[in-house]
This record gives sequence, structure tokens and C-alpha cells, in this order.
Amino acid sequence: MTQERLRELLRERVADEQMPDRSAQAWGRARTVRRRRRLGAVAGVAGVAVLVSGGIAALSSTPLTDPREPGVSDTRTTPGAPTPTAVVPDATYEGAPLWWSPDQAQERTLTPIDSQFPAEIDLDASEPFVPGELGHAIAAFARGREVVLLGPSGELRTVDVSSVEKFTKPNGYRYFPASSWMLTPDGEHLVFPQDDHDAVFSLGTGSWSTVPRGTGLVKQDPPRPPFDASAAQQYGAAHQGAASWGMGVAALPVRDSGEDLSGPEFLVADSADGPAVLAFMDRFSNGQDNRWKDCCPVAGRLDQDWVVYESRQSTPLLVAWHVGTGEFRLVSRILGAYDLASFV
Amino acid sequence: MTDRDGAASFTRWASERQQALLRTAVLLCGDHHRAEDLVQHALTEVALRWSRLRDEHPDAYARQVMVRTNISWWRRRRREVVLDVRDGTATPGPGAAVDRRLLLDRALAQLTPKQRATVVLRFYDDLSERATAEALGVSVGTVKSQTHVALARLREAAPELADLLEEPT
Repeated sequence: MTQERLRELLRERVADEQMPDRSAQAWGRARTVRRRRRLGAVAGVAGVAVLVSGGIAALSSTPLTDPREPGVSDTRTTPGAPTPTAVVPDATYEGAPLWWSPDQAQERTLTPIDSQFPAEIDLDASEPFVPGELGHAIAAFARGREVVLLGPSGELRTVDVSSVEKFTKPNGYRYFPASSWMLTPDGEHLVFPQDDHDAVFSLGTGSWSTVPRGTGLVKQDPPRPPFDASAAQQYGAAHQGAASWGMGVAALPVRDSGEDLSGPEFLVADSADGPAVLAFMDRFSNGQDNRWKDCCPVAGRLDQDWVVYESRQSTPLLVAWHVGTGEFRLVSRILGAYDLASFV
Repeated sequence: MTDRDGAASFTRWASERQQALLRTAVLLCGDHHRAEDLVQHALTEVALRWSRLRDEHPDAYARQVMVRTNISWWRRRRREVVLDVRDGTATPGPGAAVDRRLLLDRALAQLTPKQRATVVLRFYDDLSERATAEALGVSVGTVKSQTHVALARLREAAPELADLLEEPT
């Protein structure tokens, strides 16, 4: 297929496509949004420390952990080391303490923290998988019909999983069954549900086997949110008493109420003081900074205090949250496209 | 710039450009109705920033919004999406434009949204690798590798199309 022929074919494909003129409509909608933002900003100023209906109380506007300019600091912190903590929550929701995450731009400039993950995970630099070379992995990244495995020493190896068939849901939908649980907790196997069995790939031997349907995947129970989250949808894998939820709790208090914020998704992590909630904040910035739906699945814990979440954005990040505080650290940058990730 | 001036210059730009944006959007998502939604969303986002964008690159910004919104939609819905809706239909024979369309649609559907966007921006909108990288929010190296992977996958997904499009000898 030559590139010039491809160009011709693409042009031919859409030559007849047309739509009614929506320019005036778009301008009108933009004007409405501007007006709503102005009103929201005014209401935000007037509403400081005022009880809001629905049981929400904004308690304070604790500033986020200092976001630094990229490259300013190479000082890494270590999990477990004593750190000054801001234990006063940013807000409460139905009596539960709630903290606000950095927005995506701030996440990129957080101070690094030492962890089992390399500071940079460049998926495009992965090499072909060789049986026996990698006994177990600490993360797996699905990209099309390949999975990139991240080894404990930071090595990256690509496994061809094109022999895995699409999975058929009861309603007939078919999809490639990579999931946030595909890497088993011991990091030694990849598991893909198939229509009549589970396909299991062994990292130790590089061989495929099958187990009865539904027995290969290991899922942990998510923690119980400290408020009614029955309308929200938990997504991603749960790890050691931490998990993330999508839309459904529309009333969570958010920072900067006058800004163009998406409905916050949130993470719940169990701690010694009970469950703590992290609401994922965002600041709309030239259309480049809005959080994606299911933006931030939990990726695991560094220790009992630090939870790691995957911040899905143009350059995805692993970000660590010191549970029950306003402290955040940068774990890793993930370079190269992938569909989803699975962590031990 | 008064609101009236802004409205006039915006609607002039949007009226001129929206059909082109629609065609890009159809190639990005493969569905006309979704493509219209993408265009409408992009136009609104441009309108919100018109005072700044009117003298800069509103087309590039609109394209960027469409590309990223489409990827975001896909991520939201990917576990529910029918990936192979056209399975079971007869393989169209080469020759007619409609057959080529079906083959192309089927082949593009095999790409991830980022790979698909890379192909569309590079080979339909004729953007440079750098401009494509900016629209996608990735590095130039990623655009290069995604282009390579996407073209290989297109050939693999639609060998009939690849045969059809070989340069005549």
C-alpha cells in the first residue's frame, strides 16, 4: 500500500460527507458556558466556608504540595521516611475526609519518589520477550495484540498475544480481553478470559495453557466508600484496600468551583484512621488538560501509607498519594501509547 | 473585539471550515453522527477561546480537540464497543468505490484511536510529524512508531486493500 494511494483512498472515503452549518449554534453555546463560568466564579467567592446543601462542607483550601517546575528538583523522597503531613482534609463529604489531587499539569512536576518503578517507562524501547529471561513482572501494558511487561529491574519485554481470541459478552459484544487484572498478583502469568476457558501465559516458560473459565483472573475486593457511592462505577483493579470510582457522586466538593471542572472521579484508600477519599481535580487549560473518563485507576501501594494511581493523560504518569494527607509524589512517566495497564 | 465582531468572524471561519473538520472527524471515528458531535464540540471549544485563537491557528486547535475527545470517548467506551460488527458479511470484491470504502472502514477499525488519528492526520490532513505529535500530545518519535505500526496493521487487516492499492507495475 503506497502512501499516495492511501491518501487518495482517504479522500475518496469522505468526499461526500456534509453536515448542516453549526457555527451560530457553537457560538451561542460558548456564550452560555462563559456566562455560567462567570456566575460560578461569583458564587465560589461568596460561598467560602458556607455550608452547602447535600451535607457538603468546604472546610479549607489547603494548598497542594508544592508543584515544581520540570527539572527543578531531583531530590527523591523515600516511602516510609517521616514527612510533614497536612492531616486536615481539603473538605468533607457526608462526614468523610476528602483530599484534592493535583491537576494533571501539577502532577507532571511533582517531586519524585523512590519506588520499584523506574522513573521513566519507555514502552517503545521494549525488546522481544525471551522465555526464561523474565520470571515475573511488576506491570503489564496492553497495546493492541501485544503486551509489554515491566520487569523488576526495569527491563521491558514484549509478548505477542495475538493468539488470544476476542471475548464475547452475554449481550454479544466482542472485545479483546486485556484487563487491569491480566497480570496475576505474583507477576508470573498473564490471564485472558476466553469464551469457554481462560488462556494463561507463563512468563517463566513462555508457554500458553488453559484453565477453566473464570478461574484464572484474581480480583481483590475494593474498599467500601465511606458514603453512598451506589451510583458510581468502580473501575480498574483494587489493590490492598484501594480502588477508584467513576462518575456517579456528582456532588463531591471540588476545588476552584468557578473553573471548568469535570465531575470528579475519586479514589478510596483504607488507612489506619479509616477510609480516606481522594477526588481527582482538574483545571481546564486550552482543551489539553481535562481528565479522561476513568482517568486514574489504582496501580498499587508503595507501602501502607502511599497509594499509587495511574494518571491517564497524554503522557501518562504514576503518581503516589500519601493517604490521608495533601502529599503527592511522582513515581514514573510512561512513554509510548498503550491501551491499559495491569499492576501486581 | 466586541461580541458582535467576535461572533461574525467566528461564524465566518466556522462556516468555511466545518465541512473539512467533519471529514477529518469521520475518518477519526468512523461514524457520521459521532463525527458531527465531535465537530460541534470542537467548534464550541474554539468559540470559547476565539479572542485568542482568531489570530493564531483555530484549525489546529479544533483538530486537536477532535482527536483528543475521540480518544477520550473511545477509552470511556472501549469495554462496551463492538469491535467486529462487520464480521460475517461477504468480502467485497475490489473494483468499486463502495467496496474500497468498506475495506478501508474495516481496516481502520482495527487500529487504536491513536494509530488511526496518526494515519488520518499524516495522510489525510497532510500534517507534518511534528504537527501530528502536537495534535495528539505525544512525541515525534511516537508518531513515527505509531505510523509504522498503523500502516503494517492496515496491510495486515485488509490484504485485499493492500493489493488494490499497490502501485501498478
